[in-house]
Amino acid sequence: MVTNRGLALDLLTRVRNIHWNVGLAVEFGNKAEDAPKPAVLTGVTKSSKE
Amino acid sequence: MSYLQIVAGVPDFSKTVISLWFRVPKVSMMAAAAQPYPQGRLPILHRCIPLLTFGRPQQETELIPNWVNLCGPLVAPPGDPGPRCLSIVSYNAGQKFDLDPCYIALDCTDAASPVLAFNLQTQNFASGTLVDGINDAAATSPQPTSQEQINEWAALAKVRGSGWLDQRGTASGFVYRHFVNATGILNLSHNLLEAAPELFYVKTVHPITPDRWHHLLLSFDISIPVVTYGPPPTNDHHGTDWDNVSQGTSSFAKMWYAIDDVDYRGRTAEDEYHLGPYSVDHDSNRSSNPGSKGGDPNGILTKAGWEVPFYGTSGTTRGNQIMPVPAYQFGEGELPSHDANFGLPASTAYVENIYRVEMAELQMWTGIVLDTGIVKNRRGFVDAGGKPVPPAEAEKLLGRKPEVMLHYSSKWKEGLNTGTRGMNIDETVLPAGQFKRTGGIEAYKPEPQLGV
Repeated sequence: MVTNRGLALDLLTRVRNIHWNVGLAVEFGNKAEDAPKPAVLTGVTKSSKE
Repeated sequence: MSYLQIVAGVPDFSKTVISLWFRVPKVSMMAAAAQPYPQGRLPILHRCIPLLTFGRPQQETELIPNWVNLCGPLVAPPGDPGPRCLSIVSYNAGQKFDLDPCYIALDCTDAASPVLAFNLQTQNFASGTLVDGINDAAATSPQPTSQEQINEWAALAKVRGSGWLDQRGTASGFVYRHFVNATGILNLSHNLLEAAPELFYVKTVHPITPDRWHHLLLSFDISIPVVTYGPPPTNDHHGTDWDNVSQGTSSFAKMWYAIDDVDYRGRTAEDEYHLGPYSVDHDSNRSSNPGSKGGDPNGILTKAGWEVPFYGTSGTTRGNQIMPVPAYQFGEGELPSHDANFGLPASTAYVENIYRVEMAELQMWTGIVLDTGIVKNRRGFVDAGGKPVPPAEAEKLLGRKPEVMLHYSSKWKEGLNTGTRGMNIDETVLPAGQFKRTGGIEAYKPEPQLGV
């Protein structure tokens, strides 16, 4: 079991380590072909958190 | 169109802290700016690129005025200039029309320099008296039978509360045609206030460059009542103005925001208001008193509440009647956001307004506020190098996790809200707080950084 504080610090440490190894940004489109389709995972490095 | 939405929305709130990175392509700005300008009422989100929409849709009731000519026929015979004393004596309720949702959007009305705009549409109504729609529905107007009578009326017109001379121009100059006997004041303020739920609206000044990352840190508190009033009566019959809206404001809501790590409040050197147009700091009659003292640089008012001190009583005084002091109260500033789609960049109802945009790092807290003028507060979101800082920093700063958080592009693509509305502390998912995705959302490079 972790306390809120413990979890926050834990997350902080982990996020600092991996922050620049994962994509943060996404693009919303308005093209016709954007109508419902599965998300395409491109250029994203999965972090240890995930 | 692709978008994310929390279908059930978030609980109603009046205080918030929102942090969002966004980037808008030039082609999106040009497309929004090219929306035609229609006659009549503007469409929803006109020339705006939404980044976030929320709140239950609200409607305003159109008011159809009933005009009467207090002196004769409503439509004068051709060539007959009068007597004419037109007055609105009542309103009929017309059709209801949709109002803009609550939003954060890029307003591209000025195509050369789009700016952020914040629309906070409440579902509550204000109360007040002599806010607008002031008429004398019982006035009568005899016509003169002699020059002596005109002279008597000219003297009578100087007596407060008696009435006023009405004149019409002719080829040979002005000719007094009749005297309006003032008998009372018809106050239609409540009709006007009850027709439209109140809103706060702020259109920023700082232009947003296309194809570059920007960061918005926004906070507001609209739980504070809005109380405004007009200037007191004077000895003349022309009414008076305040020099600054703050002089007629005894209570106001507040907003703080920083764009790209720069706090904006008060006014520019050119007297553009960062919290305008309905800013407490607004000069209402500065030409008569240049350099007048401004109001709270972060103070905001509802539109109707702002108009009371801004317009003063000059514009509403009829003849030489003694006008009561206008007064306005609004005490329920809360955004009706539960059971209403919370959409990024907009929800289903506004899908036609969605343009291509890039976003990153959304965090939203409710129930708390943050002064964006304090560098330490901004450092919880943007580091000195202009990059996003890990969300744990903001959590530490504000003492708790955000209710809504989209962090990492993979979470955006899934619509996985890792804030407390979407996830328990043991990381089990709360379905009601999750986003539903429509369309394709793709990872984007470069990563968010100011100026990139």
